[in-house]
Amino acid sequence: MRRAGRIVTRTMLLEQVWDLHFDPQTNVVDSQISRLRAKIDRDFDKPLLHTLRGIGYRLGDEI
Amino acid sequence: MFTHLRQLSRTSAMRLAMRAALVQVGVLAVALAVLFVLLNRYVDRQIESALSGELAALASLPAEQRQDSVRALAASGSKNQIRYYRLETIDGHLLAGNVQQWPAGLSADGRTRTLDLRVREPGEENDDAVRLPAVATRLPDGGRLLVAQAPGALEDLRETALTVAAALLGLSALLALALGVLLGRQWLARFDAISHTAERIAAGDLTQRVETSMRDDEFDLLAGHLNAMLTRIEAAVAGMREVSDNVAHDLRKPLARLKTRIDVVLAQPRQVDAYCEALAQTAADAEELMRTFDALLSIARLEAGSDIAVPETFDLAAVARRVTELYADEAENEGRPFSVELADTLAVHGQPALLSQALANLLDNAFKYTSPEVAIAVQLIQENGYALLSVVDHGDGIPAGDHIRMTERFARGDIARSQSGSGLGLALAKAIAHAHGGRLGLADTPGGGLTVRLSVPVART
Repeated sequence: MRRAGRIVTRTMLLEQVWDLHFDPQTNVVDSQISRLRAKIDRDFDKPLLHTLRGIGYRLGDEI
Repeated sequence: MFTHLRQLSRTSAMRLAMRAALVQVGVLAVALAVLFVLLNRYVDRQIESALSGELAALASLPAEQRQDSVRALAASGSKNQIRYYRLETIDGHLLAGNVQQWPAGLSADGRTRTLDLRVREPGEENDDAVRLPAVATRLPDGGRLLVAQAPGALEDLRETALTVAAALLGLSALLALALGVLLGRQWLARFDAISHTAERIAAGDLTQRVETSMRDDEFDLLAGHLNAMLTRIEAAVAGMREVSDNVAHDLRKPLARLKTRIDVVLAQPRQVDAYCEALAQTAADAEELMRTFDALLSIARLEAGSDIAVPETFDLAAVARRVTELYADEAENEGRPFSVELADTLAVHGQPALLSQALANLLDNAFKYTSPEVAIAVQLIQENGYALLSVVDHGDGIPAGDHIRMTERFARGDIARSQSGSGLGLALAKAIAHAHGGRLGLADTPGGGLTVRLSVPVART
């Protein structure tokens, strides 16, 4: 939760989580995110993990 | 002609030849001088022995006969054989001979000395003063006998020797000069050939090559190196041209599309949502374009050999494991059979980020261009000193004739054409393989599908 409320881009995720310094063109990141979302948001009404289209992802309350 | 000579005199071959000629002429001069001195000494000894012989022969004759002999000899003498004689009594009175006066400094001890003589030639009225080698002895009756060498023979020999020496020196100097000019001209001719080729190349014609001869000398070596360099430069320039053509052709289309979309949105007033949607799409398109540019730059840099600035030795198996983990989840989401079989560790030399990108590109292709039920397998093994990374799919494959073309920039298969993508993935993976001293090859998967193999040399420990 170090980056709670802040936007994390795909590139940042790839670099910091998988140590990849480029962006794969398939939606590997999206599928990782959707798996993560399935795990953390499954039992709650309000989603915690938000997708910002064309920008990246954000963890926290709705803006 | 004059400028040609001046140009010639400046060539290093000419200078070298001149220097060699100077040394050669000098050595020859010294040798000739030594020879001349030796010759002189030999001639002197010959004269000495001839004079001594003549003196001894005359001295051994009885007094009467001696006087007649001397008189006859002094009167007769042929031009070459002339010797001068003087036979005198104990009180210095001339008995026979043509030397008018006993020369000062000549003692009758049988040793040859060169000194001034006053002589009178047969049939002449006046005395001549000559400087000649002479020898004298005292006779049993107390008188003295003198024999002197004629001029001519000795001087002739010396003169001849000097002439020959001078001629030899002159000739060798001339020969050396001629050799220098010849060498210089030859050198200049070959140099000019290279120089003219260089000028034409500088004028922009990169297809020019330096002519080589069959001699296999240093000029041919230089020409060979120059030609190899030119071939490399020509290929590099051709590559650059190809890239710029590709950029012009393949990047124009997405840019035009992007502009059209913006134009359409701006054509009439819209809701804020529509603008947001259009902007997001534009951002995505711009990112795609940037990715294409980045890939092109990476390929160009890799081909120029400047991208792996700081190579390190790392475990390719670990890199492959990290990348395949990412795709394993994707495969699971799609419900696609995905198998990974990696060596435990496999050390290679290079940049891990580049090789993980190469593998990701191959996996991207396999996932993008096959339907989700198609099985994909990744394998990493060591084979013949190479780390061999294979991505095997069982999809529709690519016709064998297109395999090589597919690794070129912007080459796209029939399936790929209908999908998004830059057409640079394989080209970049190939450039990465080459930059690591390895290869990238496409092959048919037995039973259908495509197998892409990337090999890089195993790091030596």
